[in-house]
This record gives sequence, C-alpha cells and structure tokens, in this order.
Amino acid sequence: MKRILLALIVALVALSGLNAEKKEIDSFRIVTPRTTGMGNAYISMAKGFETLWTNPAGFDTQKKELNILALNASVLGNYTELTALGTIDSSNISGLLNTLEPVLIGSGAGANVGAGISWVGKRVGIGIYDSFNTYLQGEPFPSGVEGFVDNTVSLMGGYAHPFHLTDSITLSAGLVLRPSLKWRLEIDGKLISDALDKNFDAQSYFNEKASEPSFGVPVDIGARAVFAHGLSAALTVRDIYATYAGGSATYDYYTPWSVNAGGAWNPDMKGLKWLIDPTIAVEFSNLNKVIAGDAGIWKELHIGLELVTLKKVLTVWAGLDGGYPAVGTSLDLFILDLSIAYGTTEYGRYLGDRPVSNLTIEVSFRID
Amino acid sequence: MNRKIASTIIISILLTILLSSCNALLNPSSFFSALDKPDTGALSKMTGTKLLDALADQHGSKTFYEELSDSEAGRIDAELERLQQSGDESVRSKAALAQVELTVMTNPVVRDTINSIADLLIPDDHVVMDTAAIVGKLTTALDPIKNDPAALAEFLRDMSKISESYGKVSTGTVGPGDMQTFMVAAVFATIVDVYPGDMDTATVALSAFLVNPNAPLELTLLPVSVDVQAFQAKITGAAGKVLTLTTLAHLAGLETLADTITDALTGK
Repeated sequence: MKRILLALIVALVALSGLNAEKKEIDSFRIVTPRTTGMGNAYISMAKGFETLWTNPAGFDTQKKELNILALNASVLGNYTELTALGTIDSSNISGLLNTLEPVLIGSGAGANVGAGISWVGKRVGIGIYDSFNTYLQGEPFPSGVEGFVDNTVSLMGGYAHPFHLTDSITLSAGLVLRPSLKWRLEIDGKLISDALDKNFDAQSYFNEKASEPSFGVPVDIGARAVFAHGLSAALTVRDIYATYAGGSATYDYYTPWSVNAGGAWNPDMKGLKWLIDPTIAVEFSNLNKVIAGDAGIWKELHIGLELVTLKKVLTVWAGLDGGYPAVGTSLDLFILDLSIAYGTTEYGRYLGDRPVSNLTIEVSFRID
Repeated sequence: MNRKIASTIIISILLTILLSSCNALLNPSSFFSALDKPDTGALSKMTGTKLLDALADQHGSKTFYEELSDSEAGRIDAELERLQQSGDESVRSKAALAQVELTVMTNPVVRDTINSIADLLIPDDHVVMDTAAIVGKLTTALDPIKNDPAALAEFLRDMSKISESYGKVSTGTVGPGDMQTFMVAAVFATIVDVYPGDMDTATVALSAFLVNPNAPLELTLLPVSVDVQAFQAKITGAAGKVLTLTTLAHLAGLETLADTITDALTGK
C-alpha cells in the first residue's frame, strides 16, 4: 500500500512539472441561487447536487436527490453599468467604446452557465456537469482588459462516511474527485493586440488556442459534525492537486487549495416547522490565505440565512458575502424547481476594490 | 426560548438585508469595508525591495491608492525615485513600473486620460484625424480642469514622470496596458519637452489649446520654434519617444501592438 501511495505521489509530482508555465484560475463551480442568496455561506449546509463542489461530507444524508436536469445561468457585473450596455448603438463605434469603458474598468462583465445531471444520497454522490464561464475586466481600456472564456466538463464522484462519536455528535467525512476536461482561452494582451489588427481572424485564433482540452483531477475533502440543538460545524479542503495539464492551451492551469470552515444552526421550530424552518450559517473561506496575510478575514466572512416555508414549497435566502447583501428565493413545484438570487462578491484585494454583482437563475427538474 | 432567539435573529437579519438590498442592487457596498483596509502608514515607511514586494501585493487595488495620504504617497514616490537609480536592473525596472502605477492611480485625470483613447486605437474607418484632432481626443478628460493652472501643471508633471519612468524599464513583466499608458504619457511629456525648463508656459499652452481646440496647434499648444511635424518627430522620429515603446513592446512580445498604438497617436 505504501509503495502504491509513493508511486502515486511521484506520478502527481512528475505530471505537475510537464509544462513549466502555470496560470492560476478559479475553482470549478456552478453559481447557484442557493449559494448566491446565502452570501456563499454553504459548506455547513451543503446538500443535493451542490455537495459535489461544496462539501462532500454532505453525501452522508438520508435524503436522496436525483437531478434529472439542472440549468443555472448567471450574469456578472455591476447592475447599473450593465444596463447601460442595453443602450449601445452598434453602428457608432465611439458610442460603443464609451459605453464599454466604465463597465470593463469597473466591475467587469461576465457570465456563468451550468448544466448537468446528478444523484446524491445514501453516502454517495455522482454527477456530470458542464460549467461555462467568461469574464472580462481591466485597465487601461482597451489594451489592459483581460479575461477568459472557460468551458469545463466535470465527471464527479464521491463518498462520505459517518462516525457516531457520542449519542449527540455525529461526524461525517467525505471525499469527491472531479476528473475534468477544460477548454480555456485567455483574453490577454496577445489576443487584444491581434484583435486590433484589421486582418484578425477570430475563428482561426479560437481553433488554434482552444481545440484540445487540458485535463485534471481536483479533489475535495470535507467533514461535518452534527451536534445537539440543531448545531453543526464543517471544514473543507478544496482543490487538492487542482492542476489541469496538456491540451492546446498556452498554459497549464491550477487552482490553489483552500481551507474553509463554518457552522450552522437549524433551530427546532417544533409545531411551526411546516410553516417556517430556518437555518443560519456562518463561514470563513480561504482561511489559509487569511493566515498567510493574502486576504482579509472580513472579505472571507460569509453569513447566510435559509428560510424553508409553506411545507418546503417556498424558500427564501438572505446573506452577507464579505458584507455585501444577498437575497434569493426558490419555488418547489413538485419536480420543477425555479430559483433566483442576487448577490455581490468581492473580486479585488480589499472590500470595495472590485465588487462584482451576480444575478443568477436556476431551472431544474429534480426528484427529492 | 429557542424559537424566540431564532425569530429575533431571523427578523433582524431579514430587515437589515431588505433595507439595504435596493441600494445594494444599484450600488453594492460592503458593511465590512471599513474593517478591511490596507495599512498604508506601515507600507509607506518600507524601503528597498521590501517596498517593491509590498506594492506588488497591492497591484491594481483601488482601495489602497484611495487610502494613501498625500504624505504617504510622497514618501513612497521618493523611495521609488531612489530605487530607480539602483545598479540592479530588476530593481530599477520594478521601481519604475511601481512609480507609474502610483502616479496613475493617485491622479484621476491622468487615469481618465489614459482610459479615454479607445476610439483612437479602434478607429472609425470614415473618420480621418490630424494631429490637432488626436490631441483633442487625448484631452477630453481634461475638460474639468481646463481653467485650473495648478491641476494642469500637476497633470503635465505626472505625465512626464510616467514617460520618464517607462524609460528606465529594461526587464520584467510588461503588458499591453503599459504600452498604451506610456504612449499617452509620451504625447504630454513632449508638450513639456518643447518648453524646456518652463512648466508654467507649457501649462499656459495646454490651457490655450483646451479653451480653443479648433485653432492651429502652432497658435495654441506649440511654441513658434516647433511646428506640428517637428512635434510629431519628437514622438515617432528615429530618436523619438517611440524608442521606449519599442523596448516595452519587445519585453511584452507585442511588436505589432506598438505599431497600432503609434499609428493611432500619429493619425496614420
């Protein structure tokens, strides 16, 4: 067993050195109304298909969920700036550029679309999801604008195991692997430079840079302890060895690992539970970055509230994501779930640097 | 008891969120932003490569540059000036690039001017521009200060400083944004150059152009001894400021962008 582990470690280290030039990217994630609406405080309340990329300890549940099809779509950017884009006169280049400038040097503009199918329950979670992401921001405008177009197909599978520590404390520990194919194109200085040339052929450029996907197998581990009085605590380590190598991309890509911790309280509302079933969650994300001084604790603080009401037909979310307010709601109509949420996440070094708002909707056909 | 506590907490959170969400929709601001600020005082007292590393960590942070007091910015600027005399090529280049960012981020008019040249880089095929029209485009962001000699002088000084700083960059990571920033700064630095040692007259000339942008440049912006062709040559001629752009383009691996930017700012 030791030999196998040693061989595995050697292979991973060798693979990580295949291509010297590496670029940091965000973690695989599908933006959902539930996580957005709760200010991204989710690891201690991970449930259903979100467990596949939030906290694998959530696989240890008696509740089964089959996502026949989940479709999520989000628009990223500052709402005021983005609505100005609707007034663009495409025949007037000067007007077009004047409208784009405040958007791209401000919060930027982007989108996230996710779709997939999954099964979660009885300690196991499996699914296949496609996450399409794009985002553009930077200055000076237009030469300094940077961004990316990223499409990742991820086959996810994991397991969680319960440990009954005492009569009132149960610890669940889980692991999920996400073998993923990533097609990614950097929108950088080279592309901007080429695009400013009159002979620029966008089709050829895209074919050359994003024809072959890179491949990686990120791993998440997580634990959740459930205590008496509806209290719970969770800890996750995400993106262990999240390196995507190979393919036609200029770079190998990696997502830095992160340590996240949180807690939740789901008070027993007894006879009123059918009417109102609240859960309050608090989470600190990227604790390793906070300890290293690379991120502020307030930016990484997430507070969320989930109110399940009317026999689970209507759910309302509210939260603070680094202090930015978030709201959302969901309607459960038998197998059809409709959800919408609005929140803001800080993309910059400090709160106030670059708040990026996010309007997200979900339509899913789900049996749970 | 459990239900009472839960209800109180839930109602408090909901009320807070609801009251703030309308404003947040249009203009998101964090309740915690006052708690998440850089220690500008400590950073401004740093020296040497420690300062360069600390500034690299703050790269692009609007909050950091907004929080810097004038005296802190002055201390950092003086140390960066000193580091640009270093015998170490890497230190010299890093200090020069850091000084450019400090100058751009602490002068909103400089920043707006550099961001306002998109329609020169992506021109409308139907519009032909001469030098006066190009300078007119470059000075759009100066409108609010056109009658403020002190602000105009500071603007010209900052643009000259940016142009000079880029001249000391010979290694390191440079991007297309640096090329755009340099070339805009180079145009204004050339206005200063044509009035050697006389910033006051350069400021008056720029003010005269802003007040009367349709008059020939020789009657407003340029001294009698320098015509438009000579002015252009100081930017794009064999010994002109374009040489620095060529160095930056080489470092960035973006030689074709250098041509695009040069053409845009000379009306070719």
